[in-house]
Parts: sequence; C-alpha cells; structure tokens
Amino acid sequence: MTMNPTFLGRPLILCSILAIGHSLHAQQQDLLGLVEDKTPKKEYVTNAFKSTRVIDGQSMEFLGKGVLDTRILHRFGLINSGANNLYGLDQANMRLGFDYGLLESLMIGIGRSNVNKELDGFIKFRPLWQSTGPHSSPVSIVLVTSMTLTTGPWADTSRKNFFSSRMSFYNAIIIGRKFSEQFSLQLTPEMVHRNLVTYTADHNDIYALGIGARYKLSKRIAFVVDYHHIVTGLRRNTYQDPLAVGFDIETGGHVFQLHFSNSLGMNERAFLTETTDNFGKGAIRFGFNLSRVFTLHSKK
Amino acid sequence: MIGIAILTGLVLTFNACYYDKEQLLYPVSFSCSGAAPSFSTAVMPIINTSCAQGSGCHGAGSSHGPGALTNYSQISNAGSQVLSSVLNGRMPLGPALSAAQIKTINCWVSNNMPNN
Repeated sequence: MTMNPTFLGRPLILCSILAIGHSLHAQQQDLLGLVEDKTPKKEYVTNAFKSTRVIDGQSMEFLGKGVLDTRILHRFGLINSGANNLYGLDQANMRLGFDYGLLESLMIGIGRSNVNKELDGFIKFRPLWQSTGPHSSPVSIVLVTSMTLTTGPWADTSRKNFFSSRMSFYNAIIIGRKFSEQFSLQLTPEMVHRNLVTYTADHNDIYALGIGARYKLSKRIAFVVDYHHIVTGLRRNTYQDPLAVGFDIETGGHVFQLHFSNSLGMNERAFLTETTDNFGKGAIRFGFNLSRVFTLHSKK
Repeated sequence: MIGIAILTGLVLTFNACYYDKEQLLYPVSFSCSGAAPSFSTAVMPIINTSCAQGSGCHGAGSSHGPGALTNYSQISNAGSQVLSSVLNGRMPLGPALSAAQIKTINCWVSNNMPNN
C-alpha cells in the first residue's frame, strides 16, 4: 500500500504554517512592545557653545572623552594704533594650549602665554548637565579651577624672591543653559587670587561676574559675546571690564573664533586683572582662537 | 581616577595661597637728604596730573576725601593724607605713580612742605 503524499503532507504544512504564524505573532508582539515603549529617556543637551571657551572665558561646553584639543590663541595690538602698525597686527601675543577630555564631564588643560611668560593649567568638572526627560536639569553647572605661574626673570634679583609670588589662582562656577538650537547663555561667578600684589591697598582677591552668550546664525557660524564685570578688588579708574565680541566659525574639526576685545590676557588671571583698555573709547584689539580636535581614544 | 588624583593635587596646591603685598614685603626707604623738592616744579605737576586736573577727582569744588587739591594751601593742608594714600597705593585711582614721583611727594612732606 502506497501512502498518499498529499495526505501525509497536510499535517506537515499545517504545522509549519502554525509554527510560522506563532513566530510571526511573537515577533509582532516584540515590535509592538518596542513601539509602545514610550517611556521618556533622559537626553543630555549638547553643543550649547561651539567651543570650550566662550571667547576668553571657559564655556559650559566640554570635550568628549579621549579628545585632545590643540588651541592657538592670538591677541594683536590696538586697532587704533594706526596703519604704521597695520592696525595692531604688528604686535602679536599668543598662547599655545592643549586641553584633554578625561571623562564626559571632566577635562583638563595646560597652556603658555608669551605675555609674562605665563604657564596655566585648569580642571573643569560638570556636576550637573542640562538634560531633557526624566530627572532632567534645566541648566548645566560647571566648576572650573585653575592656576597660573609666571616664569620670567625676577624684576629685582637683589631682594629675596619667593616662588609663591609667581602663582595665582582662579575659581568659577558656570551656570549655563541652552535655551534653543540658536541661543545659549551662561553666568559665571568667579574669583581670582593673586599671591602677590604691588601696593598695600591692592586686593589679592578679585571677584567678578562673567556673562557669555552664543547666537547661532547658521549651521557653521555663531555670534558670541563674552563679558566679565569686575565686582570688587580692582581700581575702577585704572582697570576695565573685559569685553569680547566675535564669531565662531566651524569647519570640520576646526573652530575659528574671530573676535574684537579690549583685553590682552589669554588666561583668566590675565584678562580679569590686567585689562586697562576701554572698549567704549575705541581701545579694541583683534584676536582669534584656533581650535583643532583630535580623537585619541574613541568610544567603545 | 586620574581626575580625582589631579583634583587632590590641586586642593593641596591651594595651600600655597598667600596674601603678600610687595610694598610690605620689600619696604623702600627714601633718602631725603639735600634740598627739599620744589613745590611748584616737582610736586604740583604730579598732583595736577594724577589727582586734580588729570583725573578730575580733586579738581576745584571737589568733595572727595580732602577735597580740592589745586593750590599750595589745599595741598599742604592735606599733605600727610596725600602722602599716606600715595605710599600705600590707595591713590591715585588712575595709573600708579612711579617710585620717583612717590619719593618726591614723600621728601617734600618730610621737609615740612615748603612753598618753594
């Protein structure tokens, strides 16, 4: 007796259809599960500023983990120094620096300015990161601490000079928010401590309030303002509030910050405590920050 | 870990905070031997430039501190006050005086502020 193959095949086909149907149903359920999982997730806000500096001062922005940022800063002479000085371009002051992202919210940096032959180093830490979703934060809070060290020869070698006299310190709390894709704003209460000042009436501690803002004009260009109001600690008649306005231009891995400012200093101690030019009276100098990032350790 | 190590290092570094003033650390003693500096040709120009006309703070009708410093009687009346403010660097509020200018005022006051 021969078996009818059609008869034998039917249960097999039925089983197969059932199995496939069951499998499809399970997959559908999985997919539906994904679609229906509408639990909001926490998302951190990024790119509040194009660079880790607004212009002179630190911004709320960080380098990614494992990213090295090579920074070359230039500040030229006063524009009103005339055509003979090519409107200040004859006098170039510079700072060469390297910043590195240790973690997503921790970065360090070192640099050297030719003015005062000054070394500087900083640590920047973000305990609170602006985010959306559950347990979100409306602002980022960033702590910055830095130290500077002048390395030039002593002015008077006949007296007893102290190594501590070369040192100054800077501390700041940056409170910033990216309000929209275009606009970001940050406030920075900050202080500088100088170990040595000239006169007995001079203050070793200077307190200031920094205001930094960014308005994005296009995908690659942003208008930035960096202003620091000296609250107390400096002679008002001699020293001015540092103000810088400029444009951030992003080109791939480079960020060019072209700006006009009344300060010459390229670290916090220098621009906060040594700015004597009055922006309102036309004592303005051109400068730029050039930033090039290299990813040394990519994310795994 | 690296960050914590660096942070610790920095906190320790902050123990290197000093409140030094160069003027106290390295006091300058003036030698005022010889003739007293001239009020009209040495002292008055400094006061004019840095305190009265130049800065505008102690011009005619001023009520700041010792008031106007525009002539001999006003300046000599405020002589010791001017000297102490200049010596400790509290004044002038504008660009600081040079060591030679401070010495001129110091020696004029210590020679009893002659109207010479």
